[in-house]
Amino acid sequence: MAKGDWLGEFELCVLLAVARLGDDAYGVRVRQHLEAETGRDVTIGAVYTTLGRLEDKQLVRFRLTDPEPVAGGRARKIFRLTPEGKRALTHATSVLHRLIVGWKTKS
Amino acid sequence: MRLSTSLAWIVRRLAGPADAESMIADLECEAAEREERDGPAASRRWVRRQIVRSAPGLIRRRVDVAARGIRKGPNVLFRGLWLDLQLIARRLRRSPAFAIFAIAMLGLGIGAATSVFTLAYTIWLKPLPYRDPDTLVTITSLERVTSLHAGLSNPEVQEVAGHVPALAGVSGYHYGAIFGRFGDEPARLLISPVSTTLFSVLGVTPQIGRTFTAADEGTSVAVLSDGLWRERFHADPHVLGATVGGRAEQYTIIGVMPREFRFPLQIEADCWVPELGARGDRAARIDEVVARLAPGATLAQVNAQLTSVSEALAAAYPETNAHWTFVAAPFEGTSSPAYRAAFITLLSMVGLFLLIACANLASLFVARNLARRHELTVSLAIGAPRWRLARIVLLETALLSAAGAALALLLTDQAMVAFAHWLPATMPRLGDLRVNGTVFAFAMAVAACTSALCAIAPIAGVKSLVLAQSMSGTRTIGSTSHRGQYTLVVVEVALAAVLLMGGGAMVQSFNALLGRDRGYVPAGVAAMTVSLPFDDDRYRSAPLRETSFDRLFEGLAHIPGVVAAGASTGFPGSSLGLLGGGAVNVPGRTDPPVIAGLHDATPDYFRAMGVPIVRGRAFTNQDAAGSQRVVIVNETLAAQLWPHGDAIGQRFRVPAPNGLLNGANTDSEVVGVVADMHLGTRRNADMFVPFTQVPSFWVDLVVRTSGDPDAIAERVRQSIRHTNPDALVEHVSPLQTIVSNAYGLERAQSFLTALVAGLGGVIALVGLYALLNQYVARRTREMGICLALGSSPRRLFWSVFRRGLSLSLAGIGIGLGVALVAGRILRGQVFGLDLAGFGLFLPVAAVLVLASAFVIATSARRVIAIDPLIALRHA
Repeated sequence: MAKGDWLGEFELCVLLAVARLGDDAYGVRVRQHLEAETGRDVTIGAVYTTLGRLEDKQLVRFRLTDPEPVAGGRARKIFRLTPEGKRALTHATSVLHRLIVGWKTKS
Repeated sequence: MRLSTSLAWIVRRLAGPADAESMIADLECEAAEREERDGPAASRRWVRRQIVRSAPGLIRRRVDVAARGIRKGPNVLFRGLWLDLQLIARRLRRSPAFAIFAIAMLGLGIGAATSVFTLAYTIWLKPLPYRDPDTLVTITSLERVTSLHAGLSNPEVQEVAGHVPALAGVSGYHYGAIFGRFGDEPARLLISPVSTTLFSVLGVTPQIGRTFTAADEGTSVAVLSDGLWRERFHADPHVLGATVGGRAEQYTIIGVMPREFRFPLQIEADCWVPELGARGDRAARIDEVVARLAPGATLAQVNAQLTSVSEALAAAYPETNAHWTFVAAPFEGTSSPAYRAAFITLLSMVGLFLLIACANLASLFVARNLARRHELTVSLAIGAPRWRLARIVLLETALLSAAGAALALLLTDQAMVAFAHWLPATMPRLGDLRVNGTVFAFAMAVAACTSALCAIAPIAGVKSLVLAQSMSGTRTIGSTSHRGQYTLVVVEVALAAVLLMGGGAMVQSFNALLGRDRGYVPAGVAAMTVSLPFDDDRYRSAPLRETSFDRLFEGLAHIPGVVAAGASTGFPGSSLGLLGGGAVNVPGRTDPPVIAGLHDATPDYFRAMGVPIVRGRAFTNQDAAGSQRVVIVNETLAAQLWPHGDAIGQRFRVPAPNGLLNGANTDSEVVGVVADMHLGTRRNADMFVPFTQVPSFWVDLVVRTSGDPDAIAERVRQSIRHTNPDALVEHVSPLQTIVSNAYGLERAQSFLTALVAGLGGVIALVGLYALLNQYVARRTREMGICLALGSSPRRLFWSVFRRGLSLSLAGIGIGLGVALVAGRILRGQVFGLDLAGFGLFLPVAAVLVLASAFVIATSARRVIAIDPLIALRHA
């Protein structure tokens, strides 16, 4: 991977959450999943900012749902990984796995 | 759960159009879940926390996206602007001293202008806190022969209200003081008895409760000011129904006015109570009157109808109304001619100061362009359009001006805190001095104009750049630019000369005003007000009041350093006001009556005040209650009543408030004539009755000392505490301070113009110094050659000195000439602007020439330190 393609820690977490949630990967679900799994206080803004960067890197894309069936109903974004995103996620996790195994072997 | 409109608006601004709706939907979704689980309050808190904590990251994202768009986007204009801003930021980072100096200079100039504007706006320009103030008028009585203005009596106010259809509402008002108690703590309250129609005439509503109705006339109800409500009632929202006043007089609180409400503007009334309506003495013209025009009515119509009413009253009541008519005029509030002239002068002075700062900065920018001439010529050579280079100059000045404006607003905020403490309390609306939206907009507008002004000269330099000559190095970017710099410095020095003349004239006039003969000698006198508790039934007895004050004066006589001590009701500048007053006429006289103020006075009062007895005698201890009624008049009253004769021995009836003078039907004999006592140029007619014959509840006590008035005031206060524990002592101050405070506007004007003039002079000299330094630096090689060829350093020094002095003298000459011409044109129209005489011309010219010479010599000395070898090698 080129230098600029490395994922940040939070980007990796968001990608994993999107991959895990599948069709339920709304911004709010990603936030709740990350908060539950990491024990960190995650803001909705941080999630959307990171998803925006991942979208810029073409690692995720979104589709808009139909607006809620009420007056003034809003459309929501559902995110999913692109093929490049899956590749990047696979690469990042396998690198981490090798490093973790190496660390555990040594200690 | 739906987000509120305001929160949704915030999220849209933070997240941008791409993510806003989805983010809002997500927030609403989770908020609904939390509302079910934890309750609506917790859910709302969570939403707000999410938005606040998300804000920094979202803002950073939007800036990144925008910057990326600018860098990559097709819009050349924004791309170019972004690049130019980055270039300017780099340049300023490389020359921090210049940036700091420029921001400081701009901050000072814009800050001075903004501070004066804030003063002017708050005290003069700000609309009055009443509905449609342009339709408010004042009504006064005008004595037909003497053209003397006075107020209206209570019955006259009612008659005007009922017989002038061009007026939609009329209200009379006056003000005084009552003795109140809050717990066991005595306090004097400023009270304003008003017509029950006042608040409807002004079109104001209370923040709590109600204002007066017709049914409240003559009753004991009161509407509180916001200040008294907060200070004494701790802003209690349930204050309605409580009482205010002393033991003898209690008013039931029915309403509280808003914080910004003030009426009258010149005093801060603590509360308003209903007047007597149509009752009251027809001759006691104590009421000032405010009225509102009826829809479609004009001032001319009002005056015509008032004339009819005056004629009807003159026929019905010839004794009191034969010589009087009523006149209406626009309600000025604080837009009086004195304030208008003062603030126009001040704004003009700071405008000149700002121009000096701009000229200084423009000269610096030109110098920077001169230093960067090769960079500019290369830019032009490779195709940069001149307008692009000019834009960079404009952006740089705009950035620095914006930073200067931010500093200016900080300085203005601090200046307002200082002004609120320093300016005399007699100036209206001092509590409202603060930076608000209007002041902010003014600062931004001044910053924009300043930016444009500072950019003119350097842009002109860029435009005049001759490419071929610059590239060859044979001729620099401009003898045009050098001439421009010289012109700027001459303009700066000229403006500084104008400022110094104006400031000097103001200070001179103010000192003359303070030193004017007022009929008394304020130096060495301590003044204070002393009040007895009239809510205490014991002090209803006049003999007890007299005895109390006798005891007080006996105590004062034993204090070392006391030369004389006296008391009166209402010395010039008193916060108490007069005992009363009214129309005075002598038996058998057919001339119109004279309106005179009534005071009482102790025997030593005139001696303590330093007032000469022109004829006759002062009061003595023999002028006691029960003895023959006597009166002392001042020179103005004596001249009006007996223009061709001696006032001594004459008799007339002293008009007094009801019941104040026992045996009011008896005439009083004039036993003395004293010099007029006054603060301003106007001399009022005054009469004095012995204190023992009218022992009032409160007096202005004056104590003349051979030492320091502040020190004697403390000893006097302690003595009173010992001899009269019931008495309340307030407003302790040297009389000289009271006199000075009476000229608050003039004092502020002279101080501010002197300050601005001094700063302007300093900045102009700094500009001159900087220019000469650049001149020496630019000609270092040339001077090195001269020195190498045998020229003496001293000769070069004088060459530079002459150059600088010629610029300085040109500026001083132009500035003083402009100041003298302007002074002749404006003489008499503005306080202090009397520049016609040479008295100020020579000192200002001398100061400027000497200061310039010092600055020039300091710059020129650098020539002596030039080493020819180094100059030739490095230049």
